Amino acid sequence: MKTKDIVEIEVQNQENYDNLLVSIEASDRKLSLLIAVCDDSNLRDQIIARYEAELAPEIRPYRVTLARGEPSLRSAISQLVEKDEYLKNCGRAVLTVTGVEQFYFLKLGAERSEQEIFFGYLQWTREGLREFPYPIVLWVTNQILVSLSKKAPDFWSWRKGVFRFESKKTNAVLSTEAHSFHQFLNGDESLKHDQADPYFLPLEDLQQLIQQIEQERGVKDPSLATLYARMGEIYKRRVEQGEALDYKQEQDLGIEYFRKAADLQTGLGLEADLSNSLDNLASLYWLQGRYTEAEPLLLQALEIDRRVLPDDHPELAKHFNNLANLYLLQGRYTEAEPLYLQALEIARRTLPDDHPDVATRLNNLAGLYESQGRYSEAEPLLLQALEIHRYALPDDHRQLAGHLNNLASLYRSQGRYSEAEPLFLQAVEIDRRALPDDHRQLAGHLNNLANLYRSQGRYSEAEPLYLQALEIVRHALPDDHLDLAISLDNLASLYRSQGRYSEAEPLFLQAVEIDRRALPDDHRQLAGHLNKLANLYRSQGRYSEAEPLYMEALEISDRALGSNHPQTIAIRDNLGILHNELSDRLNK
Amino acid sequence: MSEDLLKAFQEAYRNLELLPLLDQRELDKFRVDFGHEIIEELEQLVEDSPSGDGKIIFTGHRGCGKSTLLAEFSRYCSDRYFVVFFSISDTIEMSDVNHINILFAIAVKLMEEAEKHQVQIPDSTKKTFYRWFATKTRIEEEKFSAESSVGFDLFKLISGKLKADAAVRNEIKQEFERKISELVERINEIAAVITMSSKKEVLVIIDDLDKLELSRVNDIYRDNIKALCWPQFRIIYTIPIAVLRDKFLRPLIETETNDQIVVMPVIKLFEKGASRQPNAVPRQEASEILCQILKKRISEQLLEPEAADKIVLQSGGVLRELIRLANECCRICLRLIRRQPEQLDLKIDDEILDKAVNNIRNDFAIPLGKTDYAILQTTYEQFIPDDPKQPEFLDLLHGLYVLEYRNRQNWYDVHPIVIDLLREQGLI
Repeated sequence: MKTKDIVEIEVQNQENYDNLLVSIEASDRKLSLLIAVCDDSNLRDQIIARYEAELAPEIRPYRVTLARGEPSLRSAISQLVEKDEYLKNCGRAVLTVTGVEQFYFLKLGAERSEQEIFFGYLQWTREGLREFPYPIVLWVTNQILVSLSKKAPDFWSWRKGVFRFESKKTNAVLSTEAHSFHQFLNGDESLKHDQADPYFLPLEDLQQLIQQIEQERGVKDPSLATLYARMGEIYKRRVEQGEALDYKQEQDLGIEYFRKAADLQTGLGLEADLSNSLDNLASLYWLQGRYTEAEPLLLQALEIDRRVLPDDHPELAKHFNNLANLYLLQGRYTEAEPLYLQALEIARRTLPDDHPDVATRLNNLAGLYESQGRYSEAEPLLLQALEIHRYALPDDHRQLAGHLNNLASLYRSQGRYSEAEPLFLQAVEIDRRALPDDHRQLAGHLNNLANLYRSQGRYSEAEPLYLQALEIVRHALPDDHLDLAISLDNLASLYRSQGRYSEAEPLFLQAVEIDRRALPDDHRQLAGHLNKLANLYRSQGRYSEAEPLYMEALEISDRALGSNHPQTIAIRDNLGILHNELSDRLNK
Repeated sequence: MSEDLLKAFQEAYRNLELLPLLDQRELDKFRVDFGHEIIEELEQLVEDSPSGDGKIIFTGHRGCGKSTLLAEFSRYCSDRYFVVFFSISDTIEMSDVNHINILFAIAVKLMEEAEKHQVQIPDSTKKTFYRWFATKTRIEEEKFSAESSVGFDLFKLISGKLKADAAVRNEIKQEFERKISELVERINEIAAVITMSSKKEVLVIIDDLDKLELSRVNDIYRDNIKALCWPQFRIIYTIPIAVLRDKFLRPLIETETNDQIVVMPVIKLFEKGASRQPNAVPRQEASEILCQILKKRISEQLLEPEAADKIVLQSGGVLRELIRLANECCRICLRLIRRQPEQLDLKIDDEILDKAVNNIRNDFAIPLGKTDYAILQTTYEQFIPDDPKQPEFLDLLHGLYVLEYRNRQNWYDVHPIVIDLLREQGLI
């Protein structure tokens, strides 16, 4: 800029002063953003004093000084107005805002400088300023003016005028802004809560809403896609949480609603929703042991999300994991492994190393290795998972208990009983502290500890634990819940090991009975329990009763798991033993 | 009597409001009916949505009348649709806007609007919604039962929290980051309940998403457009016009919205190249609209017709700049009256306009650097810059230094006032 002589500067300053003055006068009861620019704070203060005096008393003067560390124009004005009756009643006033010049433009290690934050607020709270029906004179420096026009462009576009005042003298440079600064520590990671209440609508309300829509807008109405899926979720949750009044029926209802949702979603091309519904459907089929029906659904969901989501989306990891779980259950270990590995890979890539989800993925892969007998590979994974959880979760977190339990189970499978015991005990201890007395996880862990004692032949210690677990399950779950069948089976197995056959028999029978009621005909669990009942009869020499049970168990297991699954093989072996024993007898 | 003159100019000054016309009174007073083809276009897209879940992207230059038009459109639709129209900047702090809290804001605003219009919702359903919202925003739920007045307060409170409380926003983000579907299902459910009770389908219009920094817009739309398009009802989203230059984002948005992008154009005063001709005459239709807008706000007694025509030309067809220029003229007149209270006759003429243009040109000049001038020069000469995707160019476009006009083919021109700057610099 060329140097102007003092006279010229004075003329221009006067003109700008008048411009500012008339703008304030004309802005009657309306927001008017007036930007005044001056680098010389003395000159600025003179000008402010001058216009305030000239406008009073009709237009009352107010001053707002923006505070360091609170760079929001809107909130500063709001605080002023809040406290002042006259302003609240929209009396005529002029608001003079200073203090912007103090904001640092240096970032000082922060993500954004104070000035940038200030501009951010200006840009973004512009709409909010509309509630202040006054002329607002915002004093800035030339440096700030340039940044403001760039960084708060929308605020800038609402300016009602810019008024520049030039200083006649040159100022010495002010002292530097050499304050020390605090580096703020991030707050601790907020922890995930388990199974938080999803606040589903009351079933009746939702049913009624659906009915109304079906009647008034037809069964193809797009809003039904969500509502059907919601119904499905409600049933699914009830089933999973043991809240179902009729276990089997509610499973079926869940399936029915997810099916309806999926049909609509397919028709409407709502792929993301469809993938969700398929996944939910699959898990319900899974619960029913209808693995062959679950598989294509999981594959389809995976296929959709592979197409529409980025490669490392957590949703994909979920599908990989679910599919792998299914294969693991079916004994298709070689197919499961790469899927678990991919799920783990995604978690590792997208999450911090110590994220609980990483731990879950590690845990699942370990489960596979354990099933394959690859104990030495499983152990480090479980240890890693446990380590993550020790850091990420509080000491009494139920998930931590789950991981302790898994490691302990591994040790038990390896026969490392003395290492397993304290872990099981800790898991139970955590459950007792963290969960309600009748929580099924506690029952599960009690069962496992009891299983350990049984493996060690410590039958008298095992029995009360089994009984406690059974009591919990009986209390907490519906009569035909699968966990109840498992609990009955465990206790029965103990009695059988002790030779208490007559006490074992009714328990096994009950377990089978529940399976037959709650599960489809070809569920692996039914096969397992039939096999055990048959074992009992065989031990008692009741061969004619045992044989058809083995046959049935074998047939089911073959169908559900395939002929090479360890369970199928075991049943076939048992049947073989039965035949051997029979022929031995005949030979005698 | 100069008192009258003062009053007249003061009134004109006030009427030359730069803010969008949102309430009905302002609209009635100042609205000039010009964007009706845009309204029709929006209406058609809204109406034609086969499953009632169309997503529409709305964009245009800063200050070309988008917010005013959206406000009008929302009123226009309100007898057929349950319209929820809100500004995202009123709802969430800027640095924290992301797809999750946009969706959450939709949920809150749906409920707020339902409470406001006393939409009949079964108490048990309401109660569930309240509890859900209260939990997600960490509000103690005992305070809220299903009484009707309570709901409204609750959503006001939540709105406040969403806006002011970073911890709550963070909470919401953590909560839904990995399960957007839960949030979307909840939104859909609320919309379904509202639709059934009000007998109107839901239309959500979100304004001011175009005020976000481009980098944030990228985050939001690039990675999460699917989530934003997920809800099962009609939504109109705004975006910065510069996004349409992005060769990655544009096709993405086109695909996800089924190519439902509506651009509000700058009013085209000249056909391409015509303004460079000596004694160029602007398109009559365009200049009439702009003149009309002026006339609604400033009396003809205060403005020479020739000056009015010139203001129109200098606006480049951007409404807010038109108003700004006229407003600046008024200010000069007010100053003159203040200095010489005795004068009885004063009109905005060429001389005053020149001064006003000069002042505004100074504002334009503030942030311009060398690169900017070079881009402006090329654009002036070729009606297109060398690289329309260059960030500096996008900033200029965003800042109205360069205007985009639409024909069968799009072309650019430098803002008329900025052309003077180029001349001053000896660049043209």
